[in-house]
Amino acid sequence: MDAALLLLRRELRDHQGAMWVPLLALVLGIFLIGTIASLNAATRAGLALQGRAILGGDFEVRQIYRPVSAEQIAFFHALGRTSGIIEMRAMVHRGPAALLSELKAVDEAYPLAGTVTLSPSMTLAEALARRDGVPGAVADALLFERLHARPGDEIQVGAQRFVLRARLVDEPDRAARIFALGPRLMIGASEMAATGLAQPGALAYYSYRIVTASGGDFRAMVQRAYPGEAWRIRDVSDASEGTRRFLRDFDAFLVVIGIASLMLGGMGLFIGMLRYLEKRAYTIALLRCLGGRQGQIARCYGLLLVLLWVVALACGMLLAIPVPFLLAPWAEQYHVPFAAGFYGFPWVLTATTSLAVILGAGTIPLFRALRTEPAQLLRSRHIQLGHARFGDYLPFVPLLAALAGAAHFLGASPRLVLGILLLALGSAPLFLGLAASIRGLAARFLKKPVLLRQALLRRGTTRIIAILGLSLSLFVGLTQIGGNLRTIIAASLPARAPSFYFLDIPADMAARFDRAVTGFTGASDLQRLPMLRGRITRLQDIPVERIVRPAGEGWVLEGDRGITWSRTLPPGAPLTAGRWWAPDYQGPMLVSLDQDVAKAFNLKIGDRITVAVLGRSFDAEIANLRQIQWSGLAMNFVMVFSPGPLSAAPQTDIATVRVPPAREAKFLEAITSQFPNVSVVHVREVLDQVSQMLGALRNIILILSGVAFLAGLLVLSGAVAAEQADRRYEAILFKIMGASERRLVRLYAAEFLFLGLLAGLLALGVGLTAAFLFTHTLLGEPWRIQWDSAFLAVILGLAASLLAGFAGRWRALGQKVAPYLRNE
Amino acid sequence: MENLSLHLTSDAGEINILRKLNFTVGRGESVGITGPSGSGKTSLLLLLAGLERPSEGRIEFSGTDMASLGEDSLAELRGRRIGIVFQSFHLVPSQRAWENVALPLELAGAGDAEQRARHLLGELGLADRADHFPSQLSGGEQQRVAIARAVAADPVLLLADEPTGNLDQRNGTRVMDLLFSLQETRNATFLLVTHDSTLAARCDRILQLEDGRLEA
Repeated sequence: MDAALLLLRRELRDHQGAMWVPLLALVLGIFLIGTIASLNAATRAGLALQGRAILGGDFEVRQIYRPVSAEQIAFFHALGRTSGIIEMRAMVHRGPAALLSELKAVDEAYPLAGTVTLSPSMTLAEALARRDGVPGAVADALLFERLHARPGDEIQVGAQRFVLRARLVDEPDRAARIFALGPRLMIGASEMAATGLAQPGALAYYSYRIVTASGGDFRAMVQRAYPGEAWRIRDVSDASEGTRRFLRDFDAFLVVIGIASLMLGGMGLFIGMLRYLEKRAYTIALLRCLGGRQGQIARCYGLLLVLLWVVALACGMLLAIPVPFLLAPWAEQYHVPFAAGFYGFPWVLTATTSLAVILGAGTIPLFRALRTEPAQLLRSRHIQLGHARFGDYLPFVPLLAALAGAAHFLGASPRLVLGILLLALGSAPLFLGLAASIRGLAARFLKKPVLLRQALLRRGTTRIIAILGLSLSLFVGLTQIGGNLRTIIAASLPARAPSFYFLDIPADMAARFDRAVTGFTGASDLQRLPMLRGRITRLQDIPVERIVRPAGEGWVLEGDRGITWSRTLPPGAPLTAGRWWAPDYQGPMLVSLDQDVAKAFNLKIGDRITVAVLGRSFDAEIANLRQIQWSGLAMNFVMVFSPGPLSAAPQTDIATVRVPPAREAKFLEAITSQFPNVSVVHVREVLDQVSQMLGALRNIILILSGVAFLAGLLVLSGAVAAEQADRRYEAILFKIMGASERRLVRLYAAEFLFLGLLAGLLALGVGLTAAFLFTHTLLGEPWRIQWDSAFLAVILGLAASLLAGFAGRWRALGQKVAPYLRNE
Repeated sequence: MENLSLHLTSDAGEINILRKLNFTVGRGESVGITGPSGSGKTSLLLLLAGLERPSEGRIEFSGTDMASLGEDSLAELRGRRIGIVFQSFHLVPSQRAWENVALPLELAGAGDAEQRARHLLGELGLADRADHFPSQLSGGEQQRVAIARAVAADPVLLLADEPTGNLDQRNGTRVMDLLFSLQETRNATFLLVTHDSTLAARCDRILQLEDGRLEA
């Protein structure tokens, strides 16, 4: 047998226990990156598999407010099989009960892709057909539940009665929207006219899905045939926009967790390997003395690293493979496209990245081991590894490249990849530097108590503060980012949000609506504005397709936005530049713009914006800028136009009202009975649904951050244990000099509490900064400190420090003086 | 050895450990190297084992200039042609007696390392101790295992650094008898570093080191 293999066999037989801690840290790192890569693959596969079904066809053309012309429909039919649907929000009434629903009127061709499943089982055509003169409808189980209805019951939608025939179990194109304001109600397109809801100005979406046999550049064909139409054209690749945006931030967050955990695993291996080889320095020196060549020793420990990788990879895989299957029900509940399965690529990625990390982190101490001087055997009591050289750190280059590659393949943006590289390169020096500064300050200023001063000045203290600080920073960073992702949607809403949104208030009913609301005791803060949908087509005459989307504000150019016009400055958004137009202004069209949007696109007062509304283009000059506070769900518009052409367009109004929670039910009943066709959004109910989802999200974030922290804790315990021999010797000396065990316990407790506190405070600074940079600068999302998790991190720091400290020193504490001296 | 010098640099400045040593040792000859602590005995041994590089001068080993050999070639030379016995035995504590003896053979790629190691231990009267760990052996037994390891590869040069320093007189005598007998039967060159003039007197000749210089 090869000498290297023989040596390895004996290493494994005699010293396997020494590698448990780094192995565990590696397993956790591999588990996290493997899980995240698998989830990423499952989501991508889900989007690809369901893309056509989600979109409802190969392509979709959507127009707001009105159907396309008969000639245009004929054009679509010429391209392939076509299905037209109409979507809008509508109130459903059953007796006195009323509920906002997401109404969808479908034609006979629907669905072009996927299948609709109903309960009791029947075809969609059977369910929607007229029987005894009454058309059928199908709806989500939630609608049945809220209206206390059963199949066969009648409901009223606008001016038309329907019979609820079946529950909608599966709607293939449902995932296109994650946040729906109400349950789905589906009726036949031919019944839409009878409801009377699709009035001019009512917010209805007319979509045409097309399945083509020929393929080709559909988008270009349509745009060539109808260049003037402000249609939104989507294909399978950009189906489920909302889902993608929702997943984008979460994905980036997961990538950071995965890479950071792998880095921690690498650090654990580095410390573990260094500690292991330091212990083996004597044997290595002896082997060199007895004729062992560097190549044999390198092969032996190199094979050990490869073996560690194989075991860690196998354990990580075993743990990670079931995760996508466990999460599949959750994804289904929230309509996240997700195809749970075993995917090869994530594991190729995980295997190569983890191998690079293991070889990179493990070979650095190995280089020192190979330079162990055998002459020490005749000269020194303590055999040490050779000195580190600059070249030893070269394996960091492929390691960093592998981390960057993994982040890239997991879909991280180039900026995020750069951030991850900086994190990987900078974190260790940053923490070692900060910890060394603390040690330096202690040396200079901390004179008493002497034992604590000694503890801080020890060689290993810098390493312990650095590792604990780094792990805690990761925990602070991850929980802060996770918390902010949640609060982006939820945190500031309940206190300031209006109680109700009213949509589609016909202009001729507006005055009566105002009277009804203001006449209701308890109703306040009524705001009502006209509401149209418009799409920005040009900025300063430059088509939006040629404009680079700035981070954070790019959404303004994507799709249709709600717009309004007003004679006076709407409340809640003060002017920051320019002047508001006179109430009787009738000149060329002006627009008031959100100042953040203006800044992001470098627009100033006097610049020109072109918008497409109802198929017509309008040029408007920026007259002033407003500061909009988006959080709080108050009614806000990026663009408010001057009266003029827009006021003449068909439109409905949108209103917000605040009502004390106890009066909400009565208020809802009073308004819906008077205005049955006005759609109501009960904000609290929506928030409840959102917070349910966020609760699940919070758990996932906490679990992932917790596992990453656990990896850090393992690394820490490894670092503390590395000092074991020195501490045992020190404890012996203290005992010889008269220190009792109790006093040593107090000393260690004080030392580790102090180190934990220092590391915790350090982590707060670094973690909060990193989380701010990630959330605000990188993702362009709003940022708020999560005090609860910040506080938790400091407590965890203290607890982890004490736990790891005592776990690592327990044996030193119990060390009896006599046997130690006898064996010396 | 020609003009062999060794200087080491420390914070206190340069220290001259060995100064221009010249001597030759023939095949099968035994040489005792004596001198007070700090006279450079161990350093001389390190140079002869190729564990230290001289600052000046040259060492020729069986016609090969040791300065021309790289670290791995020196290690190979030690493995195949030089045996070293230490004062502190330096056995691998986690390996059995026979495994310790087999180590240099295994590193040299010998396929029958275990048999040869067990046979050698039997020759030295340690057959029943072959599967014991070093901590289960007495000091004398440990040193005998170390000697077995040193001669396992049939070296032409045997180096010993105070081999009886950690042993009582009875065990010390036994170990020295064994070393001289092995040297004789294998016709190996033997360099013995010792404080003990009686032990040194058993060698063919004695080199006395004083402050890094050879005394006549």
